[in-house]
Amino acid sequence: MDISRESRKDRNNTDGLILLAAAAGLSFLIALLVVLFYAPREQVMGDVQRIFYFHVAAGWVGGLAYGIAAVCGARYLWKPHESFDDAGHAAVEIGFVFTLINVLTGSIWARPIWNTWWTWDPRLVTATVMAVMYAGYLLLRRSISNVESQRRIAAGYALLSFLSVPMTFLSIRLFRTIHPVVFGTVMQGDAMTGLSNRMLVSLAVSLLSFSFLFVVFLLYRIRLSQLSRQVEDAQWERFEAEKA
Amino acid sequence: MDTFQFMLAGFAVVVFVVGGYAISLWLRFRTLNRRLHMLEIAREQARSDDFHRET
Repeated sequence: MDISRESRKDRNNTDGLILLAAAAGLSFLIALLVVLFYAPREQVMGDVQRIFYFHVAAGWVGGLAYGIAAVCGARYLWKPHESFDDAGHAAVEIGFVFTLINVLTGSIWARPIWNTWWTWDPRLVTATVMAVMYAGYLLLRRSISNVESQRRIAAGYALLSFLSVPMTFLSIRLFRTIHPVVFGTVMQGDAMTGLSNRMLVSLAVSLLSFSFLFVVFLLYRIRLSQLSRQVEDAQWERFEAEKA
Repeated sequence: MDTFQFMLAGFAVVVFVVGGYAISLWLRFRTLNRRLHMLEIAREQARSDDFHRET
């Protein structure tokens, strides 16, 4: 491998990623403006309800990321290749960041509405368990030194952990909960939890923006794993040369 | 705190966590790129030394 040619290629690849990152940043800014100035003020909850758009979008990206990690894990177990491991690892790391946003914004939203930062509600518990399980994935990887075992065990763990995603999604539909069900016409008491058109547009913009942000983060994180391997190879090459 | 302040707190969490993660990615990228560049220089230097020794 010619390191100088490889690193020049890296820099060119990174230039493309910088453009994507700028576009993702811009889309995030647009989503922020739409949520602040276009989305209507909810009549009962007031301004704090605007957290909803980012809370849902972050939850969606978390679920999507863990889904990708599970697919990559299954693919790796079937036919091991480092690119599936890179993608799975990247997806879990980013998914964890977005799940954290989902849980924290939910807690901030709950304080003025439910009068508490936290309650042992099925949705809150399952979402937090999901976040902890994926934090476990990241810790597990660090604790295994053998690369092959690390990749294989992480793939199996990602596949199993994915069970927590449908569990979290269905928790508000299966169990008695105070968490609202937004999608689908579900009756809660006398009020129907529907969204106005402007709310739906704002939610769609947030979902698109967060999904785009996720894709850009994923590409960057995968590239980072590849770069890290290149550095390791070069270090090893240098060590071998010095030994000789 | 009124609901507007809670909304701002929520938005601050989103911006800081997303921004923090983006910065962490950028820093890791920069560190690895620099390390690779240093290794590249060391390798060129070793090649040049070998060439002079042989000639």
